[in-house]
Amino acid sequence: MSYTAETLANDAYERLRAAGADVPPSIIPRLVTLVPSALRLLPIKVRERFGDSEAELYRKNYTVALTSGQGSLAAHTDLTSEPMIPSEIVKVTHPDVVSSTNAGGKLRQLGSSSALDLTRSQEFAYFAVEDNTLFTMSGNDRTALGSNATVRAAFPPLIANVKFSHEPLLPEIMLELSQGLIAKAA
Amino acid sequence: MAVTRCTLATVRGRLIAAVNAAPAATWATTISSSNDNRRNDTELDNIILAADARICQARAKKVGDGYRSLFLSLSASIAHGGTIPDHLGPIEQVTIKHVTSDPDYKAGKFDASVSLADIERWRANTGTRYGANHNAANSVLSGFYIRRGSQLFYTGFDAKCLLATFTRSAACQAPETDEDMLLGLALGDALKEGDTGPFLATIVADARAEYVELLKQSEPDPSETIVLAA
Repeated sequence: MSYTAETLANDAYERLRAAGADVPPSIIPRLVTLVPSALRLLPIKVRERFGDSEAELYRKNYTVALTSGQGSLAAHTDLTSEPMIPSEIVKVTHPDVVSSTNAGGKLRQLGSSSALDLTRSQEFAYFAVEDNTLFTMSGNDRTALGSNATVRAAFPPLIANVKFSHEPLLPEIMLELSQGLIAKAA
Repeated sequence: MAVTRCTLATVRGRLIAAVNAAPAATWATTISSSNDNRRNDTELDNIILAADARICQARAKKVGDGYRSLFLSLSASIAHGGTIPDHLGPIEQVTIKHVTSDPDYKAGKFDASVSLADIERWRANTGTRYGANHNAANSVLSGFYIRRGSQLFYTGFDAKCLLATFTRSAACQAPETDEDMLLGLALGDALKEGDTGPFLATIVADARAEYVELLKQSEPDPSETIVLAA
């Protein structure tokens, strides 16, 4: 049975108690407030521990509208359910950059938007994320792309949708996050 | 098992025997002009019931006393921020009904690290940051309380306190095992000049010593030791 925020908090509390931490029961409501953070960290922990292929379970495509080569990610990062984690963008594709050598239409990631100002090989298209905005460059033109780009990125899953095999990670993350609470309670 | 209480008639009989205080058959209508040991029944009963009240209050006030349960009862519902009703000694337990549909009240969770601001914040649950509201099923917020003087603040649907109270009546309420102490205390009040023989004085002194022992508080307030969450 999948976790709920309440059962996850109880589980984390029991682990703290079992480990000998002198924590009062009032820490349980406080642990509940950590659940969103734990869920946000889960896809990152899964990637770190099990690799990209398994991390794909918590990734999906977001459609970002581009105007003059750039588009805001806010509509996706502000979602209340399964919002995009911008730091975990793994792929950006655009139909206009499909070519014989780039059948998937992938853009290559650069560190910042200023890196797009430099002249680069026109064999590829490029993107950078800054200020919660997707900046692109194609053919050394930062305004060339319009229409929609597809951004594949990780998202914090709903607690009920965490894969069974990844559930043991959640209490671990909770314990990691709760160290500050424990120090205060002790 | 119901605890047998002292019997007023029995104690009165022993008191009369001890101080030779039996009222004459005509006492009610013919008042003796000379000093004697006689008291009327009402006077004797009042003395015994006053002594009974002292013992009952001592037991009711004492946390951990084996007979405190004779005087414990659940209060009426207390609203959040409401006043805890008059009672004797420490509160035995704060009980909280978490959800309106709960069939029973559960022991409240006292936690020294919980502040009144915590309680208020949990009740508000702004943005549902704590999941289900404090008075909803399976909420992790339910069941905590804090007292400020006689005011009770809590999370959950409703609260009642298990309180010790005592109301004098026409019958003795002290357990039967206290009969000798009851007699001794009553005797102390019933003595008149000329009654203070060494034997009676010993009975009275013993009863008072026993009563003083009963008054000693020996255990902490039980409701405010930390109760672990279920």
